[in-house]
Amino acid sequence: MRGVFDEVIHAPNRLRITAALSTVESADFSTMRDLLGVSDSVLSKHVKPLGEAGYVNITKTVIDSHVRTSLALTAKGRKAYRAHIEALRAITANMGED
Amino acid sequence: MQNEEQVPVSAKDALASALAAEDAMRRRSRSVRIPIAIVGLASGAVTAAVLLPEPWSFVVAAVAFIAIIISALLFQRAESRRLLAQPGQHFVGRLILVGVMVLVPIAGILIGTYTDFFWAVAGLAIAVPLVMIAVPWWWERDLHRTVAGS
Repeated sequence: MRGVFDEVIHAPNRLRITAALSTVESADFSTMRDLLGVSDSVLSKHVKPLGEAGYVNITKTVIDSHVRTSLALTAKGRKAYRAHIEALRAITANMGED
Repeated sequence: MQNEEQVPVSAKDALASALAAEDAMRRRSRSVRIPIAIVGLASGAVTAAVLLPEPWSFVVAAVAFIAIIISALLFQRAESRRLLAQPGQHFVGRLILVGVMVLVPIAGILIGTYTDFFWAVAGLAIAVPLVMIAVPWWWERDLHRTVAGS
Protein backbone atom coordinates (compact mmCIF):
# COMPACT_ATOMS: atom_id res chain seq x y z
CA MET A 1 0.00 0.00 0.00
CA ARG A 2 1.21 3.49 -0.87
CA GLY A 3 1.78 5.72 2.12
CA VAL A 4 -0.34 8.84 2.37
CA PHE A 5 0.24 11.20 5.26
CA ASP A 6 -3.14 12.18 6.73
CA GLU A 7 -3.37 15.37 8.77
CA VAL A 8 -6.76 14.40 10.22
CA ILE A 9 -5.41 11.14 11.63
CA HIS A 10 -1.95 12.32 12.68
CA ALA A 11 -2.99 14.27 15.80
CA PRO A 12 -1.86 12.06 18.73
CA ASN A 13 -5.25 11.20 20.20
CA ARG A 14 -6.90 10.75 16.81
CA LEU A 15 -4.06 8.48 15.75
CA ARG A 16 -4.56 6.35 18.86
CA ILE A 17 -8.32 6.26 18.29
CA THR A 18 -7.99 5.07 14.70
CA ALA A 19 -5.21 2.64 15.67
CA ALA A 20 -7.33 1.07 18.41
CA LEU A 21 -10.43 0.92 16.21
CA SER A 22 -8.44 -0.71 13.40
CA THR A 23 -8.12 -3.88 15.49
CA VAL A 24 -11.84 -4.35 16.21
CA GLU A 25 -15.19 -4.14 14.43
CA SER A 26 -16.46 -1.58 16.92
CA ALA A 27 -15.81 -0.33 20.42
CA ASP A 28 -18.00 1.33 22.98
CA PHE A 29 -17.30 4.98 23.70
CA SER A 30 -16.49 4.18 27.34
CA THR A 31 -14.03 1.47 26.29
CA MET A 32 -12.21 3.92 24.06
CA ARG A 33 -12.25 6.62 26.74
CA ASP A 34 -10.72 4.25 29.30
CA LEU A 35 -8.18 2.96 26.81
CA LEU A 36 -6.97 6.45 25.95
CA GLY A 37 -7.24 7.74 29.50
CA VAL A 38 -9.07 10.90 28.47
CA SER A 39 -12.34 12.55 29.48
CA ASP A 40 -15.62 12.10 27.61
CA SER A 41 -15.40 15.64 26.24
CA VAL A 42 -11.85 15.21 24.98
CA LEU A 43 -12.74 11.95 23.26
CA SER A 44 -15.85 13.53 21.71
CA LYS A 45 -13.79 16.43 20.44
CA HIS A 46 -11.36 14.10 18.68
CA VAL A 47 -13.96 11.70 17.37
CA LYS A 48 -15.94 14.51 15.75
CA PRO A 49 -13.38 15.40 13.02
CA LEU A 50 -12.85 11.69 12.35
CA GLY A 51 -16.59 11.34 11.86
CA GLU A 52 -16.76 14.42 9.67
CA ALA A 53 -13.96 13.02 7.52
CA GLY A 54 -15.94 9.81 7.08
CA TYR A 55 -13.34 7.77 8.96
CA VAL A 56 -15.43 6.79 11.98
CA ASN A 57 -19.05 5.75 12.30
CA ILE A 58 -20.72 6.88 15.49
CA THR A 59 -23.75 4.79 16.49
CA LYS A 60 -26.01 5.59 19.41
CA THR A 61 -28.27 2.86 20.79
CA VAL A 62 -30.71 3.00 23.70
CA ILE A 63 -30.49 0.01 26.06
CA ASP A 64 -32.51 0.04 29.28
CA SER A 65 -32.96 3.82 28.98
CA HIS A 66 -29.20 4.31 28.70
CA VAL A 67 -27.61 5.66 25.53
CA ARG A 68 -24.61 3.61 24.47
CA THR A 69 -22.33 5.08 21.85
CA SER A 70 -20.31 2.80 19.61
CA LEU A 71 -17.41 3.81 17.44
CA ALA A 72 -16.35 1.91 14.34
CA LEU A 73 -13.77 2.59 11.71
CA THR A 74 -15.28 2.88 8.22
CA ALA A 75 -13.69 1.25 5.18
CA LYS A 76 -12.45 4.70 4.17
CA GLY A 77 -11.03 5.25 7.66
CA ARG A 78 -9.33 1.86 7.71
CA LYS A 79 -7.73 2.55 4.35
CA ALA A 80 -6.62 6.04 5.40
CA TYR A 81 -5.16 4.69 8.65
CA ARG A 82 -3.17 1.99 6.87
CA ALA A 83 -1.90 4.52 4.32
CA HIS A 84 -0.92 6.88 7.13
CA ILE A 85 0.98 4.13 8.94
CA GLU A 86 2.78 3.29 5.71
CA ALA A 87 3.70 6.97 5.33
CA LEU A 88 5.09 7.02 8.88
CA ARG A 89 7.07 3.85 8.21
CA ALA A 90 8.50 5.41 5.05
CA ILE A 91 9.50 8.56 6.93
CA THR A 92 11.17 6.61 9.75
CA ALA A 93 12.93 4.35 7.23
CA ASN A 94 14.31 7.39 5.39
CA MET A 95 15.45 8.86 8.70
CA GLY A 96 17.35 5.65 9.44
CA GLU A 97 19.20 5.85 6.13
CA ASP A 98 20.44 9.42 6.76
CA MET B 1 -5.30 23.34 26.78
CA GLN B 2 -5.86 19.60 26.82
CA ASN B 3 -7.82 19.49 23.58
CA GLU B 4 -5.27 21.33 21.50
CA GLU B 5 -2.68 19.12 19.87
CA GLN B 6 -0.34 21.57 18.20
CA VAL B 7 2.85 19.96 19.48
CA PRO B 8 4.73 18.40 16.55
CA VAL B 9 4.96 14.64 16.86
CA SER B 10 7.83 12.81 15.24
CA ALA B 11 7.00 10.03 12.82
CA LYS B 12 8.83 7.53 15.02
CA ASP B 13 6.86 8.51 18.13
CA ALA B 14 3.57 8.55 16.19
CA LEU B 15 4.25 5.08 14.82
CA ALA B 16 5.12 3.74 18.26
CA SER B 17 2.00 5.36 19.72
CA ALA B 18 -0.23 3.85 17.03
CA LEU B 19 1.20 0.36 17.46
CA ALA B 20 0.87 0.62 21.24
CA ALA B 21 -2.79 1.64 20.88
CA GLU B 22 -3.42 -1.32 18.54
CA ASP B 23 -1.84 -3.73 21.03
CA ALA B 24 -3.76 -2.23 23.94
CA MET B 25 -7.09 -2.67 22.15
CA ARG B 26 -6.23 -6.23 21.09
CA ARG B 27 -5.48 -7.12 24.71
CA ARG B 28 -8.68 -5.48 25.87
CA SER B 29 -11.01 -6.90 23.26
CA ARG B 30 -12.49 -10.25 24.02
CA SER B 31 -14.21 -12.40 21.49
CA VAL B 32 -16.32 -15.28 22.76
CA ARG B 33 -17.06 -16.46 19.24
CA ILE B 34 -14.78 -19.48 19.45
CA PRO B 35 -15.77 -20.73 22.94
CA ILE B 36 -19.50 -20.36 22.16
CA ALA B 37 -19.12 -22.05 18.80
CA ILE B 38 -17.21 -24.93 20.37
CA VAL B 39 -19.79 -25.38 23.13
CA GLY B 40 -22.60 -25.17 20.58
CA LEU B 41 -20.91 -27.62 18.28
CA ALA B 42 -20.16 -30.06 21.09
CA SER B 43 -23.63 -29.93 22.65
CA GLY B 44 -25.30 -30.17 19.25
CA ALA B 45 -23.16 -33.11 18.21
CA VAL B 46 -23.69 -34.97 21.50
CA THR B 47 -27.44 -34.34 21.44
CA ALA B 48 -27.73 -35.41 17.83
CA ALA B 49 -25.67 -38.55 18.50
CA VAL B 50 -27.88 -39.52 21.46
CA LEU B 51 -31.14 -38.90 19.63
CA LEU B 52 -30.04 -39.96 16.16
CA PRO B 53 -32.20 -43.14 16.01
CA GLU B 54 -35.38 -41.03 15.94
CA PRO B 55 -35.71 -38.85 12.82
CA TRP B 56 -37.95 -36.23 14.45
CA SER B 57 -35.78 -35.94 17.51
CA PHE B 58 -32.77 -35.55 15.27
CA VAL B 59 -34.53 -32.64 13.54
CA VAL B 60 -35.12 -30.94 16.90
CA ALA B 61 -31.51 -31.56 17.90
CA ALA B 62 -30.32 -30.13 14.61
CA VAL B 63 -32.54 -27.04 15.08
CA ALA B 64 -31.15 -26.54 18.59
CA PHE B 65 -27.63 -26.91 17.28
CA ILE B 66 -28.25 -24.40 14.47
CA ALA B 67 -29.91 -21.97 16.91
CA ILE B 68 -26.87 -22.06 19.16
CA ILE B 69 -24.44 -21.48 16.30
CA ILE B 70 -26.57 -18.71 14.76
CA SER B 71 -26.93 -16.95 18.11
CA ALA B 72 -23.15 -17.17 18.56
CA LEU B 73 -22.61 -15.59 15.15
CA LEU B 74 -25.40 -13.02 15.55
CA PHE B 75 -24.08 -11.71 18.82
CA GLN B 76 -20.75 -10.89 17.22
CA ARG B 77 -22.49 -7.98 15.55
CA ALA B 78 -23.41 -5.08 17.79
CA GLU B 79 -26.61 -4.32 15.86
CA SER B 80 -27.92 -7.85 16.16
CA ARG B 81 -27.10 -8.40 19.79
CA ARG B 82 -28.68 -5.09 20.71
CA LEU B 83 -31.75 -5.86 18.62
CA LEU B 84 -32.23 -9.14 20.48
CA ALA B 85 -31.32 -7.65 23.83
CA GLN B 86 -34.23 -5.24 23.70
CA PRO B 87 -36.78 -7.00 21.51
CA GLY B 88 -39.67 -4.95 22.89
CA GLN B 89 -38.57 -1.94 20.88
CA HIS B 90 -38.21 -3.66 17.53
CA PHE B 91 -40.82 -5.47 15.47
CA VAL B 92 -38.31 -7.97 14.15
CA GLY B 93 -37.02 -8.55 17.66
CA ARG B 94 -40.54 -9.21 18.95
CA LEU B 95 -41.11 -11.61 16.10
CA ILE B 96 -37.94 -13.52 16.90
CA LEU B 97 -38.83 -13.54 20.58
CA VAL B 98 -42.34 -14.91 20.01
CA GLY B 99 -41.11 -17.44 17.47
CA VAL B 100 -38.31 -18.79 19.58
CA MET B 101 -39.89 -18.59 23.01
CA VAL B 102 -43.29 -19.98 22.12
CA LEU B 103 -43.23 -21.95 18.88
CA VAL B 104 -40.08 -23.97 19.50
CA PRO B 105 -41.17 -25.40 22.89
CA ILE B 106 -44.67 -26.14 21.54
CA ALA B 107 -43.22 -27.82 18.48
CA GLY B 108 -40.80 -29.76 20.66
CA ILE B 109 -43.55 -31.02 22.92
CA LEU B 110 -45.74 -31.98 19.97
CA ILE B 111 -42.91 -33.74 18.20
CA GLY B 112 -41.83 -35.37 21.45
CA THR B 113 -45.20 -37.08 21.82
CA TYR B 114 -44.52 -38.99 18.61
CA THR B 115 -41.15 -40.27 19.78
CA ASP B 116 -39.84 -42.58 22.51
CA PHE B 117 -37.72 -39.74 23.82
CA PHE B 118 -40.45 -37.32 24.86
CA TRP B 119 -38.64 -35.66 27.77
CA ALA B 120 -35.36 -35.41 25.88
CA VAL B 121 -37.02 -33.77 22.88
CA ALA B 122 -39.28 -31.52 24.96
CA GLY B 123 -36.40 -30.59 27.26
CA LEU B 124 -34.21 -29.70 24.33
CA ALA B 125 -36.97 -27.60 22.74
CA ILE B 126 -37.48 -25.75 26.01
CA ALA B 127 -33.73 -25.28 26.37
CA VAL B 128 -33.47 -23.41 23.07
CA PRO B 129 -35.33 -20.28 24.29
CA LEU B 130 -33.41 -20.47 27.54
CA VAL B 131 -30.19 -20.34 25.55
CA MET B 132 -31.56 -17.40 23.57
CA ILE B 133 -32.26 -15.61 26.85
CA ALA B 134 -28.99 -16.56 28.53
CA VAL B 135 -26.65 -15.54 25.71
CA PRO B 136 -27.84 -11.91 25.38
CA TRP B 137 -28.04 -11.54 29.15
CA TRP B 138 -24.53 -12.90 29.56
CA TRP B 139 -23.26 -10.68 26.78
CA GLU B 140 -24.96 -7.48 27.88
CA ARG B 141 -23.99 -7.77 31.54
CA ASP B 142 -20.66 -6.09 30.81
CA LEU B 143 -21.19 -4.63 27.38
CA HIS B 144 -18.70 -1.86 27.99
CA ARG B 145 -15.91 -4.42 28.01
CA THR B 146 -17.04 -6.51 25.07
CA VAL B 147 -15.77 -5.44 21.72
CA ALA B 148 -15.93 -7.94 18.93
CA GLY B 149 -12.59 -8.71 17.37
CA SER B 150 -12.28 -8.24 13.65
